[in-house]
Amino acid sequence: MTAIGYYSIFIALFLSVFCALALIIGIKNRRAEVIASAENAAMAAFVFLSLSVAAMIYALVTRNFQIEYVARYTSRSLSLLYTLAAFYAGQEGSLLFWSWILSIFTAVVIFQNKNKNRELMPYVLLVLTTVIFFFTFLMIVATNPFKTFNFIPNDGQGLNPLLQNPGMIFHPPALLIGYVGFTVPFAFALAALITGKLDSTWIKTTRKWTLTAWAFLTAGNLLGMEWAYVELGWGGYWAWDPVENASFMPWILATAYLHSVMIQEKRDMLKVWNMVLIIFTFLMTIFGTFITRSGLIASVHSFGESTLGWFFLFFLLLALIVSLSLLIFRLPHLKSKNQLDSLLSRESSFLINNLLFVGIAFTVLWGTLFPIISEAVRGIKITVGPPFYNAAVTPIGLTLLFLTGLCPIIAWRKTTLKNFGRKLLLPLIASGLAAAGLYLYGLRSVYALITFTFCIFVAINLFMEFFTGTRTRHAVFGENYPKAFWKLLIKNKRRYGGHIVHFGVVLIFMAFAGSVFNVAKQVSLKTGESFKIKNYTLRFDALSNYPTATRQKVVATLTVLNDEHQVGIVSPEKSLYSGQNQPTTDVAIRTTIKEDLYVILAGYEKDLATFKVLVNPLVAWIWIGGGIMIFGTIVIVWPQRRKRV
Amino acid sequence: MWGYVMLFGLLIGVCYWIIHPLLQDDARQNSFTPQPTDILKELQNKKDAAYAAIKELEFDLSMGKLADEDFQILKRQYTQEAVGYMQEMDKLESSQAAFSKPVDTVAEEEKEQGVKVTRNPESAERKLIFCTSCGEESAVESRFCAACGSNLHKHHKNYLQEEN
Repeated sequence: MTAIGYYSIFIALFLSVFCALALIIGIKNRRAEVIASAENAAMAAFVFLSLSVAAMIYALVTRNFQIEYVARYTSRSLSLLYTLAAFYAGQEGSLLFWSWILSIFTAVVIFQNKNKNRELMPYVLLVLTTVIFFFTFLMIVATNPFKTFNFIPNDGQGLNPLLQNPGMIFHPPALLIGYVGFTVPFAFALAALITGKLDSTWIKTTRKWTLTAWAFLTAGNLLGMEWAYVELGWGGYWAWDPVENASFMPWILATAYLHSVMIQEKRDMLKVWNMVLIIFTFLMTIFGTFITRSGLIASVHSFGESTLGWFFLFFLLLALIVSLSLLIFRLPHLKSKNQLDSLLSRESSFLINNLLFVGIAFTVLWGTLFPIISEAVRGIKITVGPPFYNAAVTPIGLTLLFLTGLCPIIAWRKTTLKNFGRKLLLPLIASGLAAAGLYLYGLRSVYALITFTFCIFVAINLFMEFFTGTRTRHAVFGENYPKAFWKLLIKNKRRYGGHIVHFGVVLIFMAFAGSVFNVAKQVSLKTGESFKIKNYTLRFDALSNYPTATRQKVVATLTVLNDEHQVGIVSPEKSLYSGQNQPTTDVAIRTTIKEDLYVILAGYEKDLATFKVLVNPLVAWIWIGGGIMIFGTIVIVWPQRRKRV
Repeated sequence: MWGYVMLFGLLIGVCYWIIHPLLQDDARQNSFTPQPTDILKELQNKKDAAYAAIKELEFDLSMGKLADEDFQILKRQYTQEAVGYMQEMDKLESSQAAFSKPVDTVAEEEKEQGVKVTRNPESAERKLIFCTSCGEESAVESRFCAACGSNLHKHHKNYLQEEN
C-alpha cells in the first residue's frame, strides 16, 4: 500500500501537468474535445489522490511504522479517532489532505459547470490544476508522506499530548477546508480577468463557494479558540500568535469581500476592489501556510524549520505577480458605470466597513511581520504582543460593530435624513437608556460600556428588521405571524441569514467585553483548606496520583460552593505521557452562561497543591455566537426550492 | 502484488477515459463556447434576478425603508435591465427558430402575416391577453409580461386554442 500511495501522488502530479498542457492547447486552438479531455484528467487526479489518502489511512490504522510519518504521529496505544486525526497532524499529511480536498473541489466545479460558464471554465481549471500541481510537486520532491525507514520500529512516537483533544478532530480540517475553499473564487476571478468577462457572473457563480469556505474558516478559528482555551491552560482563547493571525487575516479579508460583492451585484461598482480582496484572501491562505512551514516566525503552531517555506514563498510571489499583472492589464475595463449617490447609503456604509476590515487585516499583517522587519532593519527581532493588537484592533472592531447595526436601516442608493432619523430613534433611545442603566449598576470600564451599548444597539436594529418585516408581510399578504416570519426568512435568505450571522457577532463581542471582568487568583492549599474567589468558595479535598494505559495522572479534587451551596466538583489534572518529558496540564472548567470557573493545577507536592483559578465571565457566549454565525451562513447557502413548471 | 495490478488497471481505465473525448465526435465538441440553450437559461436567471430585486424593493418600500422617489428610480432601472434580458432572449429564440425552419416556410409565414394585417389592420392591436400572475394586459405576441416578467407563452397557447 505504501508504494501505491506514493505512485498515486506521482500519477496525480503527472495528470495535473497533462491537464494544464491540454488546457493551454485547447484554449489556443479553441478545441473543445481537448478541454473535455483536460477535465477528465482533473477528475482522474481526484481519483488517484483519493487512492493515496486511502493508502495513508490504511497505513495509519494498521500501524505501519515503517512509514516515517506513521511512526512519528501514532503509537500502538493511540486511540482510533486520534490515529485517524494523525492524518493531518503533520506537515506531509496536511499537504496530502490539502491537495485531496482541492481535487474534490475541482471535480465538483467541473461537474457543476458542465453546461455553464463554458468560456470561463478552461481558465478556472487551469488555475485549480496549477495549485494541485504545486501541492503534489511538493509531496514528490520535498516532503513525501510515504517515506519509509530501512527498518520497522516496534512502536511509534505517538501524537503530541496537546493534540490529543477533540479539537484535533475538527479544528484542522475545518481550517484547511476553509483555506482550500477560497481557491475556487480566486480561480474564477483570474478566469474573469483573463477572458475579460468582468460582469458579476463569476461572483454569482462562486457566492456559495465563498460563503462555505468562510463558514469553515469561521468554524476553524472558533474551534481553535475553544481548543486553546481548554487545552493550553493560560485562561484565554486568543493570543495573537502568528499562526492564529495567519488564519484570521484571510477570514477578515473574506468577510470584507462577502460584503463588497453585494455592491457589485446591486450597483455594478467596486469591481477592482472585489478582485483585490479575493486575490489577497487567497494569497493570505498561502501566506499562512508559508508562516507555519518556514519556521521564519516563532509560533506554538509551527511545524518546525524546513525548506518547504521557501517553496510556498515562491508560489506566493508567483501568484501575486500573475494576479496583479492581470488586474493591471484589465484595469481600464473594470471601471464602474455607477457612482455613489449619497454618503448616507448602503453602498457608502459597506465601503466604510470594507476599509475598516482591510485596516484590521493590515494591522495584523504588520504586527505579524514586525519581528522580521525589525530584524532586517535594526538587527533585533522585536516581537509584537497582544497589547499592540488589542489597542489597534479594538477601536476598529467596535466601529464595525456599530456599522453592523446601522447598515440594515440604510437603503441602497440613498436614504433621506428624515427616514434615517425616524428609523434610528428607537434603537438609539433604547441603547442610551441601557448604557445609563449599566453605568448606574456600576459598570465603569469605558471599553465594556461602549461594547455593551453597541451590542444592544445592533441587537435592537436586527430585531426591528425581523419584526417590521414580519409585520409588513402580515399586512401585505395577510399571512399569520409565524408564517409571515418563516416566509420572510426563506424569501430573502441572503438578507435575513446575514442578520442571523450578525446576531452571532453581537454575542461574540458581548463575550469579548466580558473579559474586562476576569478575575484571577493563585493559591497554595493543603487538603481540606478553602479559598474564595468572587462568589465562589473552593475546597481542596484530595490529590490522587495513578497510572493509566498511556500516562501518569495527578488529579486534584475541589468542591465548588457558591454562596455556601455546593454547585459541583472540579478536577484539574497534570499528566505525564509515556515518552514525554514535560507534563501537560488539563484544566477543569465549570461553565455556565454567566461565567466560567477555570481551575488549573499549577504544581503539587504530597498533600499541598498550587492552583491558578480564574473566573471568566460570558465566555460561553463566544461558542453560542459562533454556532449562530454558522447557522446563519447555512440559512444563506441553503438551496432555493425550485418552482415546479 | 494485487495492489499493483489494480493500480495498473485503474491507470489503463483512466487513460482511456482521458483520451476518449479526443476520439469522439459528440455534442461536447461544441461545448467550448456557450450553447444557445445555456445562454437562454442564463438570461432567464438574470431576468428572474432583476424581477426578484424589484420585489425586494417593493417590500423595502412597504417596510418604510425606501423613499418613494428612490423606489421609482430603482424600479425603472431594474425593469429596463429585465426588458433588456427579455429582448436578448427573444432575439436568440427567433434566430434559433429561423435557423431550424426551411427558408420557404419562413417566407410563406411572413407573407401570410402580411396578408392578415392588410385584410384586418385592427386585429393585431385588438388581440390582448392577461397575465395570470399579476393581471397585467399584454399583446398576444408578447412572450413575457412587462409588469412581472412571467412567461406568457403558455397563456398564448391557451388563447390560440380558445380562438380556434
